[in-house]
Amino acid sequence: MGEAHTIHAELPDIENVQVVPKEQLLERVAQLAEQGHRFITTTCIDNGERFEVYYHFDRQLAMTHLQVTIDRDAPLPSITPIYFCAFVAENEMKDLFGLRIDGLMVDYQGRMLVSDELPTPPMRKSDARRNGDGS
Amino acid sequence: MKLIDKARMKSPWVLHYNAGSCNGCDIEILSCLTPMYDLERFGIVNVGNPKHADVLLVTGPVTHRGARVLRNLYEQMPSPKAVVAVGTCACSGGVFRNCYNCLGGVDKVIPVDVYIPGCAAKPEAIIDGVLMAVERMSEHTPLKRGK
Amino acid sequence: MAVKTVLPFGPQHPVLPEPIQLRITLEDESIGQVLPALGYVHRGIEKAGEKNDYPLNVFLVERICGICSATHGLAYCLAIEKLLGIEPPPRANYLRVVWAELHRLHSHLLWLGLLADAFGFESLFMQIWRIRETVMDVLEQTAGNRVIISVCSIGGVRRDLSEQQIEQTMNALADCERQLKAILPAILEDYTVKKRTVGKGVLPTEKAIRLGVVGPTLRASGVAQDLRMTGYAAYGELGFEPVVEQAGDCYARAVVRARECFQTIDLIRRALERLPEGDIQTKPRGNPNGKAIVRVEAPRGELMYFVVGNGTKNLERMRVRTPTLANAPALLEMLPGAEFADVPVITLSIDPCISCTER
Ligand code: SF4
Repeated sequence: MGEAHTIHAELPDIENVQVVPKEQLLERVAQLAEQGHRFITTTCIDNGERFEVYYHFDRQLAMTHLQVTIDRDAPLPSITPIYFCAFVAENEMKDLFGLRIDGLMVDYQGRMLVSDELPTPPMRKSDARRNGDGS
Repeated sequence: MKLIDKARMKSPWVLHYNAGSCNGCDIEILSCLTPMYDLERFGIVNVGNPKHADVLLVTGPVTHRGARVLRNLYEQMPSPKAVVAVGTCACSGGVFRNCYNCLGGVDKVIPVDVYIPGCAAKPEAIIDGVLMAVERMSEHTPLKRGK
Repeated sequence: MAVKTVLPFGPQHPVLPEPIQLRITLEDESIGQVLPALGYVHRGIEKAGEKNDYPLNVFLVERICGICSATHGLAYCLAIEKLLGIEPPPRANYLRVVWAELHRLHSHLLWLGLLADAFGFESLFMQIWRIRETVMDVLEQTAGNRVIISVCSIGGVRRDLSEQQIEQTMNALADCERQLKAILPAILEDYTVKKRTVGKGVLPTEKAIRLGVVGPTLRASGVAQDLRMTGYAAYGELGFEPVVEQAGDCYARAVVRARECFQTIDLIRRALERLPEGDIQTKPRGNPNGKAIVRVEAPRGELMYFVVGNGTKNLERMRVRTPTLANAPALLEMLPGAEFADVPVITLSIDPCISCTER
């Protein structure tokens, strides 16, 4: 697409995002569970420096998102004791991004989806990409 | 031996394995077995045991984990045997060619006798392909392609 | 004393069309623990979605799952349209509904057939798949391909329907409805079928929400939640009511899907009757930037796309949450305690789609 970029006055963004520090994550998730939210999934975004982890919840078709930003090597507490079903999503982040997650109730040791042929987590951006040369 | 060869030609048994496909080709293979296309009129029966099978139908671009199972299945099948790659992604990797977990085609793992392109491959093409594989098998010309 | 056996179920097994392995711990005949082993179909589509140009991704996401490819394409297009700030023309919206619903119809019929096969009711399987061919013919006639129809494009749809095609579709739908009405009692009112499904794999409402199940599985547990209620594409104008059942067992799930078949036929009819005139494509301009989440109702339940653009023609991140990913954990709750012979039926009752789950 050779056209010029459309300049948005404001970039489209997702609504209802609550930024929570890592320490309060479990507490907030427990509150949401109490209120009858349904867990949808987690998304991990590697912005080159740190991981942004989103937790998506739904209640009567309205979404709530929790956002936690952590260092690439810092561990994240697992929410599986509260929402057992999160084990698939958390194991997936572990596989694909090499995110460290503590207290997973079902742990595949980073080998749920990928096998030994791929030694490094495939979605994690390499250091070269982080420094801005090549992808 | 003549009689057995003849029996094999008249009623080849197929084994289907999904090596990472999107299901599109798999449901077309299943469609082939249903009344509209009816593979069974050629004596073709779908079996679950590789030791009973003559023709192996493989779909999908072959993932790393799938490759191990595929090799295993192929080795368990008695000769003569034929392999049919169903769908573009089984032939060459198709849209998944660049994906990190795909090998890009069945022939990267086991020798293939018949390639059926199409995304998804049409039932008519699949029927043709299976029959072609049976013909090849009866000619006793196993393809010698590297593993 | 109960004998413990660990049974690997899969990855290549006659009743499983897809490679997944369930490691089942058996105590005599009943199931103790179940652990799925995945990764046989993982291709890495989320990563590939970052490498392709964004208009090309439409073809990639359609191949995440062949059975609900129309819905994947639709969800991705809606997400990119949100980022670009464009609206498809009304006719395109209606046509999207038509194709998405046709796909739902063929997917539900496929499932009903597989269910019949799971009890060993083979002639019913064949009958239902014969009816399904009517729908496949409509897809081939209108979109040019049977399974992967590739009709959605960013900003609209790729194909239009002529008067003649609309008429043929209507006739085919009437035909399909008539045959379904004749055959469904055979599955839903049959003594043996009820024996195998009623009271099996029960999921009460509370538990269903806690386990995060979606789609027909959730609606069979008494929760009226269907993303079509949010009115994306043209659903808002078509008057949509979700189908709900209360019992939460395998039978209720079958009933939900069976009733949805008729509902889907109605929706397609309504959409075709009210099809507005006009263009089918808005030209996309610029490159996506920002973040957007889109949720649509795929045949198996809620499908979520989270796309992040960075102002270039490549996406920064494309996250896909498919329905089976949400339904699979419920299996680990439903299977323990069940009889071994019920494994295929309970597993099938969530309508698993492994290629979706692993992407
Ligand atoms: S060839 Fe196309 S339809 Fe067939 S499995 Fe591959 S991607 Fe799916």
